Amino acid sequence: MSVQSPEPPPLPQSILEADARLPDWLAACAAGDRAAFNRLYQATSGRLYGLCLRILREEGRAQECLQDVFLAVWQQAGRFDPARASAMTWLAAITHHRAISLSRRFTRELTADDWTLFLTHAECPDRTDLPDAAQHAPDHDWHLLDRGRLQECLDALRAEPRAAVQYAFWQGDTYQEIADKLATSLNTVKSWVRRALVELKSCIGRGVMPS
Amino acid sequence: MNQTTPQEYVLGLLDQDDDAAFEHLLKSQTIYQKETAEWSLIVAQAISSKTDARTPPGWLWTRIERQITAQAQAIEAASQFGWRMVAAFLAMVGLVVAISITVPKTLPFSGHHEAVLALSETGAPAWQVQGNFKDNELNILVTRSGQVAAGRTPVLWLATQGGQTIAVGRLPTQVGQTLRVSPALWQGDMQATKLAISLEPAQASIGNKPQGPVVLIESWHSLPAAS
Repeated sequence: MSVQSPEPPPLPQSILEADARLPDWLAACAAGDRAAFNRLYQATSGRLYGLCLRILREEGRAQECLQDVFLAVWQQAGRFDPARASAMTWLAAITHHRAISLSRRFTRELTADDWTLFLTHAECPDRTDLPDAAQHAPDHDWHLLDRGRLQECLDALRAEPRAAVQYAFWQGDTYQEIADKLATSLNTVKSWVRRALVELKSCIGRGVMPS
Repeated sequence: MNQTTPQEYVLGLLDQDDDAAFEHLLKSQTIYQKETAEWSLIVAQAISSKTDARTPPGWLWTRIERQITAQAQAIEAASQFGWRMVAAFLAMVGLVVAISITVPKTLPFSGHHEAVLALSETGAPAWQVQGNFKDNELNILVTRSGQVAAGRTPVLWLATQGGQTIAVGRLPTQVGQTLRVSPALWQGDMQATKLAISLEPAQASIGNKPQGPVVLIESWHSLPAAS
């Protein structure tokens, strides 16, 4: 019943170096620099396409997803704020939202463009590298989430809720799809996932609260 | 809906009604906006760190570039149309009528075909579209103005014989406005394409196929020789 989620290999140095340039390229995109947009695409499209494919599981729809994301990024690059998220996380959040929207049978009102604006409401949950990170948000309990914390909290869940929520996280499955995969009722899955999400939120909060 | 959480929305777990209801909440409730945005980043960070990169097809970048070129040109063309209007008045010819619209003026190039597009008799705009197949140019003139449905914008598409849709760009809607489309937009035989108009969400980016309703499809017509 468990869902395998092996740790990925470390990113190659060239990717890390490219990621360090992403904020500059996004700023240049906001100024209309096509060359910077091309570099941004070359550096990130593979990872974002992989994310689209993971959720959508079909090449044509994943291509549509990636195109929508980069059109939105080109138009809304000025909304990226390096104080709120790393550039790669920002791009992945837009991509994940678009992929989930495309994967559902109904139309969501919030587009990829909308999501670039929406993300400005976040503080900086993934920025552990900022020198003044501790000063940012004492009012938020999952501020300073470190990269491994979510996985630790997932691992701490009971087996059934963990399996259910892992399908939601890693496969983008709906409640019904999870119920089918786990051969249980829809209501049971909803109960597991909702309880697991509450526990996750609490766990992440405990892990990042100032001691 | 009472139990709905931002995490469920981010993960796409909700059914259609609850998803729409939560999006409605997101527009007005600051607390939901903040929590949802942060969970979006948390989930994205986690899932992207566990996802292998896959190389997208090479043509996808070309298509994206073409889309942003077309969009930029649509914006530029819609904002500067004066000289084209003068030229249009100098090239008066009688034109084919489609959907009960008589178009009084043509744009000044020869050897072209045209289509006349109109949405309906509800006051929505009508456009005259001329394609110069020799030079791969396409000019659009707004011949009648009116209101498009709230929150929607008309977008012009080319539909190829092979079933591919190519976004030309957002159509201007004020009478007299013109739009010229880049030759770089065309990949194949323009004559074999049809023109289509869809009504897209006004704030949405234009993808590689219509998301909104396609309200019109029109073929090219031969243009009588200019007098």
